[in-house]
Amino acid sequence: MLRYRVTSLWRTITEPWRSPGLILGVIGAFTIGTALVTSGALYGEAAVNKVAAAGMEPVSLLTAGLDLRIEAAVNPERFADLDGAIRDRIATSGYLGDPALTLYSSADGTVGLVDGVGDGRRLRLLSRDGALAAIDPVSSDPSIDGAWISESFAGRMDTDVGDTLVITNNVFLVELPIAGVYADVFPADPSDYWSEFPADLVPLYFPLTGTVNTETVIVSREVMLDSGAVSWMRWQAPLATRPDTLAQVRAAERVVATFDSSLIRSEADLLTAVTGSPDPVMTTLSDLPDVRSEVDRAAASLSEPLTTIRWAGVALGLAIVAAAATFASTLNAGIFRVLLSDGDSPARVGVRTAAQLAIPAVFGSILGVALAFAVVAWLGPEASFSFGSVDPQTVLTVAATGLVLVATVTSMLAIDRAFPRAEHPRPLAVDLAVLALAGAAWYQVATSPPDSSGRVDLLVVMYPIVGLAAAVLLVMRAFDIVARRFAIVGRRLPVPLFLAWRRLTSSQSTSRTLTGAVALSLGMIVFASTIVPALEAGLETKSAALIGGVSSANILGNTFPTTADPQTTVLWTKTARIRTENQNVRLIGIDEATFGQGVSWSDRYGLDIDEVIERLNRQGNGTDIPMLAVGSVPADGVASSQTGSVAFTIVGRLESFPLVSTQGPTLVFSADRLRSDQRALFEDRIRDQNPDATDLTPFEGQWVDPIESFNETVVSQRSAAETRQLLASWQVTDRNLVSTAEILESPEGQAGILAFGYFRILAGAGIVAAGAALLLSLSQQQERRHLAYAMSRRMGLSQAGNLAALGAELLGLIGLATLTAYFTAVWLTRRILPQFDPLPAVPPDVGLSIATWLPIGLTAATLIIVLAASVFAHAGAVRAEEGGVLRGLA
Amino acid sequence: MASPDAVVCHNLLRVYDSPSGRVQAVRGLDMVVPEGEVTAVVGPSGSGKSSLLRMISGLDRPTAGDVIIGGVSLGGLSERRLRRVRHALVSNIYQRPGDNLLPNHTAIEQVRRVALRRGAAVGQADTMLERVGLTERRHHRPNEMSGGEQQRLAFARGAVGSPTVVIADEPTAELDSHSGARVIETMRELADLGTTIVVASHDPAVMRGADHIVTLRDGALASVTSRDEELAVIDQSGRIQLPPHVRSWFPRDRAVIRVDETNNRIWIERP
Repeated sequence: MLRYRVTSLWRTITEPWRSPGLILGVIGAFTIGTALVTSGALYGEAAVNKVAAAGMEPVSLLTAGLDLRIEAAVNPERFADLDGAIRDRIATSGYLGDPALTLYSSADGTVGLVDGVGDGRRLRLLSRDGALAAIDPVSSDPSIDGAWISESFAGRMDTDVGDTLVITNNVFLVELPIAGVYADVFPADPSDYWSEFPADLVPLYFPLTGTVNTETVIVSREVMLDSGAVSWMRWQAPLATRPDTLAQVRAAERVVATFDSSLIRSEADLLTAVTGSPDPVMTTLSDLPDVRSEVDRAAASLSEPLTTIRWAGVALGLAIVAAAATFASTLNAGIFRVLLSDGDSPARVGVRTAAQLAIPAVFGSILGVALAFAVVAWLGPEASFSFGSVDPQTVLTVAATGLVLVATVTSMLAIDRAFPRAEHPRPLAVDLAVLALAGAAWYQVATSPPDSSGRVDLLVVMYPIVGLAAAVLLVMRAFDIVARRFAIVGRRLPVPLFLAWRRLTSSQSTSRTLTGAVALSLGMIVFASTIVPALEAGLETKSAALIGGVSSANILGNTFPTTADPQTTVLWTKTARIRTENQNVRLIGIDEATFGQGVSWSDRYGLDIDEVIERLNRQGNGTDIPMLAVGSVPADGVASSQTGSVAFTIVGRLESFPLVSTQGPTLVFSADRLRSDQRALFEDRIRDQNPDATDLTPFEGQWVDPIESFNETVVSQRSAAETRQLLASWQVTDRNLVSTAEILESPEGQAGILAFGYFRILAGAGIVAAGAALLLSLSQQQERRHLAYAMSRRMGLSQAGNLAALGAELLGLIGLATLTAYFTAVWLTRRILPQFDPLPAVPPDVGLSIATWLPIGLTAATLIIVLAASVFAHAGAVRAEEGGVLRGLA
Repeated sequence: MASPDAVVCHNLLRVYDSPSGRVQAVRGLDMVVPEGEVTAVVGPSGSGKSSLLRMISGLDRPTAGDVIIGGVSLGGLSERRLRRVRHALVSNIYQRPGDNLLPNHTAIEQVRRVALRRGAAVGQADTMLERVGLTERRHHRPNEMSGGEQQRLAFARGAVGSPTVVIADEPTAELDSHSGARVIETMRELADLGTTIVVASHDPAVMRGADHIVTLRDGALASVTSRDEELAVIDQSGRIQLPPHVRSWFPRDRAVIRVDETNNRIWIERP
């Protein structure tokens, strides 16, 4: 008996393996289902890592690394032990490179020569690893181990190599021979050495004033330790490599942030021995905590949309598994009939089926993880991710949930499949639920303003899915009504078309449901392929408006020559007030000669560049300056600031303008025009006051250039690095150097793009599943098709006519799906795009690119596959004896 | 002596809701199936045969009326009890041989499975296979057997454990005449051994092998014929339904009835 039971169990478990189609279908369904569920986690990790890598990209490895400072006097005899201990800890951290040690005194030392002559200026004594080898010597004496002073300092003190300095403050007094003189360090010094030097200790020389920010005497480490002047020890360790994942950023940040506290814990005695204090002042500086915070914020902002879409993936994955269960139920209808007739309950039939499909389900789940990995690597963000983010428990849960779903679906369908009855129409409640959800999402999209933080609203993310689903359901229901009402028309059509129409209007509900699924998937692909490039293009245009060009920088102090570079211009900006309106307005002055070559101009701003310049040179109203208005600037008026006022006439309006970051009112004018008009007024005034003057040179002191009080922004078509070099070569100090690349890669900019990018994966999986299901469904209808074929042959239709009818039928189904999907997706894209308007108020439909080739290509591919499958089916029917076909199916 | 009734149908009514409206598949049908005999249900397509069989099987519930199997009324039973009835009292055999068997089980396993579920001795499975002439095929799977063998195996599977009734829906429709004859022979042998069989069929050979023939027309009982006589049906209102072929004798749908109460006879004559 036991043997019989074991054999029977084995026979039951292996039963489905007699049907390769069923096993492949189940494996495929669980593969795609698990891939959808796990790809969400992988995609999320890749997206977050992309944001993390983007956040780390502009950060210097040096400033993001460890900058450990201990403020204390040093016991020279134990210092080597402390230095060794710290270097060991840095070496074993895994994230930090070799540290550079800097020992220095406080900056309140004064210096004099041994003969008592001194200038009383403050001075710092400093030693740094590699400094003596890296500085640019002007003169030196290698035999002397002493002080290196700057060239300007040597000139000011009128001293040279070999002389002796006396350096003192209230703590130390040290006499040092001068070993060398090094070249002054200019602010724009391109030397790598100074760029790696602690920024606050670089002895910058300012040629305009002839002074150094802090005079620095550089000595060897031994001299520094022997001098007794050390009041600061500083280990500067750069990051060994640039972290490119969120986990690495967090781990590196943890190392840096906890370095001092862990050092105090483990080396307390040594610290006391070196510094003489049990609790020396110790600080750790690094840019990394700020970067990590920014990256964490970005990751959090991505979390909501990605979670939403992941759930969509889970739902789609389970739907595919449910579809597989439906397919299995259809295939197993005969077995179900036996079991149910024998008195088995539907639940027992469901459990039996789930048990039978457990092995292919687990196999499919494992394949699904591999597929998810491959798909995210192919279609996901270009960033690293690992299997680590896939929780094995999740995979098991997916497999188990899928099997429970199989059992449930089978239980529900068992009786219907075993004893088919007349088809019931789809309950209206399903349509109404989807329509209600779509309505709620519609309302949310229509009423919620664009979110500048990059957050993507839950309903906004759902909108494309439920919107597409609602459209597909409506079209299918409309088609049902049309099919019912007009099924008997078309008798005058050519026979193939008439046959196709009859088959279309009497298609099984399964075929229509699958056609709907194809439409939904196709729509998601069209949507993702449309909105992602549109968001990228929009972001690019808007960031170009914000930056003005490819890069821009505010500059301080000295004026940048407008003719310095053929790809660069200068814009002058200032905030003023319109007297009559009591309204703040931003003034932007352009340099006519270089404006066109420096800025990134968009026709969407409203005018072309030539027309801008032409209008800004029109005759004003009297002495008014012609200006172009951006935003809500009223009619002509007077803009005033502390340094003067200017009357303006508005000669046109623009939608946006370079450097306009908000919709606030802005007035654009020609700096040349303003300057020449003001100059003319100035000269008229001088001549009025001094009628006899023929030469205005004596009065030039009274002339104030109106542009002088404006802030100057360099805008260039060059990259940030090139612009920085350009500014340095002109010895101009830059501030807030930004580039479009930074904005494009910013977390805020990427949130929507990354979130909707995942739709591609969902849609791809959906269309594969729907297409496969459609093929399987058609293959299941093969017998009916054989019958239809045989009947149409008896009606005298040729093989070509039959194929034409088949092609027309498939074109009808796929065409209906494509048209529904395409137009709904494009419409949804246009509607949802304004939600992602984080940057300047440029018209929202920038760069909407519709991937026309995509639905056409997919439709063609699907059609070819389905047509080929059906042709083979028909070929089978031709071989079969028609009478046999008819007898078997009558 | 008349056999006791294995199945009794009382005023059965089955109405379906279809997209084109309500359809009365079975209309007020009364029928009895004597125990240990073969009852054939015949009638044109759409006459209600399959609906009737599904209700007798306990796979469908009547809109009105009741089915009593082995003394058990199915009318008020819960789904769970109904499954027990199907499990213990009823066996079903369908038209397609493949639909009656589990594809991965051998012949003996198919029969044993049902025997065990009905609490019968395992040895009965071997006996039953012997009765249907499949002892030599006991270790073959359905796909290794012919259609006729599969149907005989289905009868063995259905009859094992002594169910009250075995219901067969067109069991010979997909078989050649020789295989069909073997199946009918098997059916007959099982009935002779006490198995009650209800079989729906268009096959004249099946009708010839049946003890009783119940003819349905438009969902109603048209006639009941035994081997030696054809019986007209009297419904609950006392109406007599004439056999279809004599309806033409009364072109104006009018008849003269004479009642001979002495001899318990009724004459129906053309006016």
